[in-house]
Amino acid sequence: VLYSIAVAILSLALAPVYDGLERKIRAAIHTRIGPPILQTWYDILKLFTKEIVVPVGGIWYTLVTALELLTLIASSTILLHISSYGLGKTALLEAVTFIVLTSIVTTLAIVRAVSQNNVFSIVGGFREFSLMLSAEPFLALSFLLLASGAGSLASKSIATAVLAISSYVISGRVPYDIAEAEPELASGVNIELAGPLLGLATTSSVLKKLVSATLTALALTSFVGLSGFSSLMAVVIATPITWVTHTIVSTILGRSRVDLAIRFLYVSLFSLSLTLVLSFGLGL
Amino acid sequence: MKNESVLSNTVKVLEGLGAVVEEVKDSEVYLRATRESVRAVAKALYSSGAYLRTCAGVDERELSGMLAVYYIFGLDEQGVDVVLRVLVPEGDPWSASIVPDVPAADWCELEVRDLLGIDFRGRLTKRLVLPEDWPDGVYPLRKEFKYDEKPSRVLREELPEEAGVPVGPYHPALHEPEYFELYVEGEKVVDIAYRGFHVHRGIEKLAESQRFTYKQVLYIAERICGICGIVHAFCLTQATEDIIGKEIPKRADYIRTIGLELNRIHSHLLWLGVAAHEIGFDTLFMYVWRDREMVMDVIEDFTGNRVTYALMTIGGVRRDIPQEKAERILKVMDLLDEKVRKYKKMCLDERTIRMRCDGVGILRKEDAIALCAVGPTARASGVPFDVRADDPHAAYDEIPFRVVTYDTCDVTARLLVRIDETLESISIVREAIKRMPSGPVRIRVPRVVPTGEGVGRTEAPRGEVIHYVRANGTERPFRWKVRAPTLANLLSIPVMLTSRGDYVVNIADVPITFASIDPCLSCTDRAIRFIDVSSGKSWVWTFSQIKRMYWRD
Repeated sequence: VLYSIAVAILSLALAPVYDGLERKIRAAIHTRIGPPILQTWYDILKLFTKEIVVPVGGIWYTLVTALELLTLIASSTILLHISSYGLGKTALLEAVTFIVLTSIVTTLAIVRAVSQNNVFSIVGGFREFSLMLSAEPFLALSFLLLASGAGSLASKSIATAVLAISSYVISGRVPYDIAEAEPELASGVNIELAGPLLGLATTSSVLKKLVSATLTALALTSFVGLSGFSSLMAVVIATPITWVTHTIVSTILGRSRVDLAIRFLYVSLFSLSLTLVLSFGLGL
Repeated sequence: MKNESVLSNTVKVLEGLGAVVEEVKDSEVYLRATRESVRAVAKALYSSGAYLRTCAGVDERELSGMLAVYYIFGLDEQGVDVVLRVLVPEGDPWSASIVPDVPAADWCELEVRDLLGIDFRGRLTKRLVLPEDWPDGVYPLRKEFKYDEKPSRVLREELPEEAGVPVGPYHPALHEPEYFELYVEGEKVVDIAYRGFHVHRGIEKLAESQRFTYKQVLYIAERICGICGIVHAFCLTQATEDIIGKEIPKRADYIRTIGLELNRIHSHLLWLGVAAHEIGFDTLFMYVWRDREMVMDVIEDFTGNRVTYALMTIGGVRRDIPQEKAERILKVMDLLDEKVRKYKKMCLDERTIRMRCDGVGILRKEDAIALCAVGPTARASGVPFDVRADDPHAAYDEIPFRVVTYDTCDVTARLLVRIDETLESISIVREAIKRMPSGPVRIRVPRVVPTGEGVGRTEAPRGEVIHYVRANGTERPFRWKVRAPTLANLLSIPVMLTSRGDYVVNIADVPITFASIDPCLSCTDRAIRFIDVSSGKSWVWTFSQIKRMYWRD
């Protein structure tokens, strides 16, 4: 329990710092100075000092937002727990729990968005829903296969590729930030949020990025075959590197459109997953 | 005047339809038609290849005892403007509308109706420019209405609140205030309605006040736009000089050309950044705006200002370009040339840009012509209309340049037209500096402008800007009419944003399509109202309705 609490606190503390690093790197690519690395922390703290403006939906809405954050913390904690003994040696129950928690996070985010009587929030929520339907099944498939430890190097590589793409999608970065898409939906799923509620949503958002980066880091480090503390350390070191890679990818791309994004994800992830399943089925 | 024989044949046809020739100038023909015959005359003009630049209402009761509507057509192949005047008695103020034959006259007729009280028959009418609470029967462009008068507000029945889908009063995609109604099925846009003019500033009326002389009105003109104010100042000087009838020094022509082209470079780069932001490509946005600073610095170095340059004056320009400044401009042009070519390559090669822009915001050539679209919007639909080439002014007749056109008619075409035009502008600036003659940069002109009419026009970054001035022998304009290019291009927006057949418009395409005409409005408004077209009804969406619609899709 103490370990889990420590991991949760560490996740909450580190994610905004990584996000600050992302902003700094993006600014550097843009040839801007950018905000300080701790800016995301300052933003979140400032938001929590503001008055609470509860949108339509009242306390229930607040609970959903808080629950989303708690689930993400749990999800992040499980992921680091899995890291401590390597992805290929994961107990099935833990892997399934992680997948279920990820789905709960997505569901809560969608419920939060569509429960508002605001068309942009609703459109954003349904965009998120479409996007998640195109990515999460593949994320679940690849994660469970990697967690099982079965398969050849080739099939593990394909599973890692599927996991990397689908986990990038759940991070909500460009080109898949269509649920928020500022020029189209005026912040979409977050349009009704302000003050502490926006603080909760912002924390959730950076934690999602942390989970996304940790997932890819976990899959990549599993190739080294480490276990125990060295495996955990490898993931802890690989996570910010993955985060930086995500940052660079998102900075050099533009936003997609919901139909284009879904088409691309289905085509790429479905064909990769089909190859993956066939390679497992044929024992390659 | 080019093709004089063709023009005289056209005029003969118009005379046969009841038009009377009032005056023929080198580049303008002034005709008069009765309010009954105006539609037939306009139809014949339009059929002969003329396009409608704008129309203007003038309260001429002091001069002719009548109200008047001026339709300004352009016959570019003949190199003339045809100004068609219709006189309307004050006691029975109506005229036949030309909109059934010339759809581009839609908004300018409504503007005349709102501001001058002339009714147009044979078309649908509605209030366009005046706010909802403006009293009936009060027409701000009539001379008895004081420029600083504030009529009492009239409370009307409140419009139904379009909650459920509020976008405003501000929307990130709309940098200025306007209002759209998008008719959608799921994410597919099937129709659109527009309501603008929320911040009508009454600048034309202000210019008629006793406070301003022609030269002072120039400063107001320059403040029409925060991006291309120089073109408005230029057009007003052009129209005024047209009435005065004096040639300005050649060096001033070249300096004006340099000013106009530097402005085009900064405006197109600004637009490219905004367009990149609309499709979420912020890196391109940052790079372009960073490089745009170079041209802004050059403009500041040259004129002393970054935005309102105060360069133009009636009779020439207020600033010369000494040799050392010319060299600095050339140096920046070299740097920009390289950068802009890189951006062009990026726009052609980058998959994200192509996916979001190819086949989006289609405006077919025939639609662009019918709606009298102007500038890059028209040229991206294959219409080679460019005032600089069609009616050379300033030094454009002495500097070779290419009129850039593309024929894919989509957002990509508009993007490429602007990038290529930036390169052309760089070339024009270089050439103008190279060829610029020595000599004075302005002449003295009388404060009192003789009675007459003048038309000034140039190719602004967004398209043709046109200014019409009616002078009455005083030092103040009797009537000053401005038509900015956005007014002409906005009429094309519903065509671009309406799905038809295989052409599907998504909600996500709306910001970049709207941005593709490079709109310049003034700030506000709010809602996008979603309406079910299958039933033809509009309603306030509830959560459950929206959920049902999405699940259905």
